[in-house]
Amino acid sequence: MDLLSSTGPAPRRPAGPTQAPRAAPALHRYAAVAGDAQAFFDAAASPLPRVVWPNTLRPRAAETLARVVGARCAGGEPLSWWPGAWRLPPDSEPGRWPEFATGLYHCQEEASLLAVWALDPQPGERVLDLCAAPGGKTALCAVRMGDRGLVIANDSVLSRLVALGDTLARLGLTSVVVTRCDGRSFPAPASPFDRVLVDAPCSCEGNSRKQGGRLPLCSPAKRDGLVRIQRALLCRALELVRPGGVVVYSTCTYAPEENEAVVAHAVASTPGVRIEHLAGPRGLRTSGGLVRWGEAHWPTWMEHAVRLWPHRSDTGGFFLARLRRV
Amino acid sequence: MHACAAFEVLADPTPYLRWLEERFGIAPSTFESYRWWRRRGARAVWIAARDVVVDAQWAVEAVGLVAFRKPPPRGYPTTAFVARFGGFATRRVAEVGDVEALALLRGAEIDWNSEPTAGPVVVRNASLGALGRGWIRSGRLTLELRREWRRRMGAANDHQPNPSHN
Repeated sequence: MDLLSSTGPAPRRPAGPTQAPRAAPALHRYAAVAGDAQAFFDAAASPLPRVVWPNTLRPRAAETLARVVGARCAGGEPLSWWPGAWRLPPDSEPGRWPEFATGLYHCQEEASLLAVWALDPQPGERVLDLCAAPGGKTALCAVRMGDRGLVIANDSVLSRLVALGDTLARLGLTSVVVTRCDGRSFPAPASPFDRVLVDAPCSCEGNSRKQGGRLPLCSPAKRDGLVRIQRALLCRALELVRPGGVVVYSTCTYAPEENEAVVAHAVASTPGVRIEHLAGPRGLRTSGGLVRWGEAHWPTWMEHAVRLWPHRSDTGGFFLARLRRV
Repeated sequence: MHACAAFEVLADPTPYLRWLEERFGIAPSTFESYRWWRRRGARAVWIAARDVVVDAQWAVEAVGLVAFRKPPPRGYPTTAFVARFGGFATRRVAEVGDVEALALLRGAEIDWNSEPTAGPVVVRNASLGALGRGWIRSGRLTLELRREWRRRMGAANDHQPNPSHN
């Protein structure tokens, strides 16, 4: 008897009433840089597709996941730029399928995969995820490395480490050490890291699709506080990586103050750092970083950074830059 | 460095290796590329890839995967450990069919009339591989799963099937 077809699809929560998308006021400030502003507002209020990727530490995980998706979810399609991953309709609930508990796969937002794609961790390397909770990117790093090497999953908030530990255990990862340190002053180890990921705390404006388009306004004071933290995290990461090593800075916000301005500050204040050109993977429509925002101007190399806009890539909003210490 | 304030490498993992070999038939050589760690002052033992190191200045909360929460003979491997390494088991393996596997994952007990007849087992399915650590008691097989993992499956799965093992 076939494992999946014998049981039928997993029960789903009833869908809520359909509401017409409307633009969150917090997003109005990006109308001039988003391109098609109305398409941006509409996309930012629409539900977000889900993505699942196979835990390739398990035998035949990719084939089994393909069968699971085929049996449980109409409308799933392979993610063209990440082998074995699937893009699922927004109303699917892969985290509630029984196979999830076996560690066969993990659910994550498509944009989050891009940060690990840019970091490109290799088996045997020493990798630091400075702001790791809830742990999806950490787990993807460790799986991509074949669970060989060292991944430090750091977060300063103990309560956030619970979800992280749960993910790592379910996927059966043995190469991850969980630490609880302030990332801004993370203690330097005897040997520097090959790669550091700074998925910084941010105003999360790119997450509006997970919240039915609703988004609280980020006050200037709150934004200033976030920027101070982001700058300190990125500068510390650049100190912790070996010469020749890579630091990826990412956020899930559109705000240039938290993105391009932070990267520009870190490059200007850290000797021997350059930004690397990221074209984005084939199959994912990305845009370059901004070189101008209101009164602010940045060097043209800022176009080497990557932005994801929901109306172009059908993802959440995302920013990332890959920096190399030379 | 293989020690910090909270964790240190286990000097002698022999009792754990012996338990896994004697009960589940997993050869000690399976774990040659791993180290066994313990949290200072605690009974749990963790398994981590050999490349894993810690720094004395780090506030370490976890190293790799919890393998045993208590030492043998009273302790047993965790279900997460068995899900990861149960594919190497050659003894005390409960091979279950597809319907039974899903029932166990949803928290059901199933009838079990085959060998082994009691105690801990590796629950395995041809499609999904090792599901985790099971337990046979009074002719019934259950699968250990974290409450959080079961909770995610939701109340919609509360009406669980109760198939018999064939």
